[in-house]
Amino acid sequence: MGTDTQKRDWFSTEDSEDSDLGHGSGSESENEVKRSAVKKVVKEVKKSKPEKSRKRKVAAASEDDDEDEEEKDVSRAKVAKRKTAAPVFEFGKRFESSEDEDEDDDGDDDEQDEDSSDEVEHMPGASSGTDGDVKDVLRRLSTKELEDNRARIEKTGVVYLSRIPPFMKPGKVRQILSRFGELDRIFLAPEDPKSYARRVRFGGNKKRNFVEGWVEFKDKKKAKLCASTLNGQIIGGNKRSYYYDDILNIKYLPKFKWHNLTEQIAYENQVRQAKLRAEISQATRENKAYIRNVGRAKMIENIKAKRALKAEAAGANEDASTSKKQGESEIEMRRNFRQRTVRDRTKSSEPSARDKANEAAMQRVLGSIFS
Amino acid sequence: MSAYKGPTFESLGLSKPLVEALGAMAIRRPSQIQISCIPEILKGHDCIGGARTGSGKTVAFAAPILQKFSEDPYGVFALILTPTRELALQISEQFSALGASMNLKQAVVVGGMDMVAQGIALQKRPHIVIATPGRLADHIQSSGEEAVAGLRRIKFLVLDEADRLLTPGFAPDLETCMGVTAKGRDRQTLLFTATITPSVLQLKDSSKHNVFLHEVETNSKISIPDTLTQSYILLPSHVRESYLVSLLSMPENEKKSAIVFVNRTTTADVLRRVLRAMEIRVTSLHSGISQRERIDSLNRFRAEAARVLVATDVAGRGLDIPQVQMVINFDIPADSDDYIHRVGRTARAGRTGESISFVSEHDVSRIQAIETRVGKQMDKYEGVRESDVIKNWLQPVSNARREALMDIEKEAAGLVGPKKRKRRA
Repeated sequence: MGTDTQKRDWFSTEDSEDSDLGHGSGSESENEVKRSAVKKVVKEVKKSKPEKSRKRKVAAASEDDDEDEEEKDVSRAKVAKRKTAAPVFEFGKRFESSEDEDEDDDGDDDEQDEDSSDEVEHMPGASSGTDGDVKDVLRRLSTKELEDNRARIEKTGVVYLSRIPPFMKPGKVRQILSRFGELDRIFLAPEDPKSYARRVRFGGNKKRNFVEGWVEFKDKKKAKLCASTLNGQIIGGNKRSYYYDDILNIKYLPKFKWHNLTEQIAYENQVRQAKLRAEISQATRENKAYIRNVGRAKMIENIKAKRALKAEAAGANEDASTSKKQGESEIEMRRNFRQRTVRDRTKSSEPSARDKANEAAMQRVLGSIFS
Repeated sequence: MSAYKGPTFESLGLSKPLVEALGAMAIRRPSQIQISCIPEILKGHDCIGGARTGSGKTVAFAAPILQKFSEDPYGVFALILTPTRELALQISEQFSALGASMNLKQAVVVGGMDMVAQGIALQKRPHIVIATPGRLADHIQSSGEEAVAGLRRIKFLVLDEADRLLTPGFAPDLETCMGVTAKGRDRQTLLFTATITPSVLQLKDSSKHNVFLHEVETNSKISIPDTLTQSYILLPSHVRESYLVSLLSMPENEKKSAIVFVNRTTTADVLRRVLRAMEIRVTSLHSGISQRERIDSLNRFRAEAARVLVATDVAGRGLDIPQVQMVINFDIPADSDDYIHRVGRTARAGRTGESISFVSEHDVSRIQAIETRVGKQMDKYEGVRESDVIKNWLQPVSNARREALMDIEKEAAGLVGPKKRKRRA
């Protein structure tokens, strides 16, 4: 099993990968009762906010630039969802969304979430939010639903594949493993982009390759059975099939749930969000100070202008000279800023140490130019 | 055309194929520097050429070299040294356009690219070698005699942007390069730059033979084109980003192609991210990115796939991108010569252009030094309104900046790779 840092690397590749390159895994989670509901939600959100998604998304600062257009709308919905939910489980969803990009653009639900008090589910029409149309579709889950959810998660089991036969796609993995029971999610870690580039450059296979993977079974008993049966065995099947002689290495991961895969990143993401919020509030403070200063500068200018007018009106009166003196005293420098140094090549300035070392070479070069 | 009475390229002594090639590049009338330098170079004199930016210095040395080359084509005929890699590539393009009819073979020897391939190319004795000093010195020291042999017989040595090359930083590498080239009268040496420094001028006096010197022709030797309008904006340094975005998204500037010059690669990186977050089509060119990306982003800018190029001084010299209408000095350079080269990226070959300098509270003495060097007072740029900056840009831009800084930090820690540019259909 890979270390945490390795894991992070794959996830980040997933995040950054373009959609045309495809993603590490095709996961088809079928167990969702609410899937259709979610789709409806997504459609509603799309209808209500058709073009805004790419505009000035700094406000929704957590989003990736590289997601697809449609993805964007979904993620808006998610952002809204996050606002009510605990930040802990935001990432889980994001991770899934990047995983599910291949098949369609629906958001995932948060079935792996354990923090039951904060759990929120999409439901059209059930209004609880304050944030306009998006939050209209959110509502708290009932206790029963929560219990069901938790029981369902409790029942799942994850197996680990320490190697994926060359170029085997998630669909094939699903086909092989689903003989033992219903599968939920699959994640296959894509190979290092550098090794892919190298292979392609030297004329190798251009297909996507995966290095290892995790598969979630809906029933952990099935997962155990699958691991003990298939581990170390050839894949078999049709004698002429490509993978006939390939060996599968499967291990059942005891006391391991799908969310354990993502919690590290979820945590990091949460930290990042918090930091970003702090940074932005700092920026806001600075901006306010700047705006205040601008206002003050304008005020002072106006006062000066008025005084000048008055002085003019007073005309040749002797107080004109005094007010003039006042004006002069106001112009005087209030603060001196340290000026950046000016380099002047026409005058030989103090050369740096490196320049001094090269000075002799310089002279030889100059001497040999028109030799 | 018929009304034109001055000298033509034929009368300067260039052969028909060259004149035709120049015509194909839409260069029909020689510029001042071409008129004075081409005959002298053809006569075999060494030459120092100084002319304002965008006045056709490259052609002024490329055309006579190719003319001489066509009379006696062989091995490595000319070596051209430039301070930056992109400039070397650009000169190579111009040579291939001019020399298309004479089956010219050339090699570009610059850093950041495959050294073995370059070594092999050098062994094949290309007619013209265009190089940056560092990489060529590396080849001379490590690629073996076979690769270097050709350089011993060169007829021409050109130092483009000579004032930059003849600084102590380049000296060790230049010495290595000059060490292997032909000596004395076998070789003609040509120096070209927009800003002739006293040290370059001294060379002429110290030389034993006749060196032809062409200097900027007009009064007070201003190396800035007349068609360029220069202006400045006085602003506090911490709101420069907001002003920049506001300036770039003003209705009259919305379509203009612009280069934004900064002093540091980190600033360039931050600025690129900020502008990208503000949905301005932007690309960047500085030494902090790989050579492939550098070439890529320059091509993107040339092809107008990107409207704004954020660059350090690496793009300050020589690059000829005709459509650039605006040069923005986000930072003021310490050296006023650098300023001249920077603003020289626009208003090239008689086109109009404008330059806007962001003068922060720390840059006043720098801008004064520049004004004395240029010999002209700049005007205040009135287009950007403070109220517009505050109302529309201040908050989003500063947010984007903070986010960009965080992203950079994260990438530096190696947690994620840089985000890829989204491909557009």
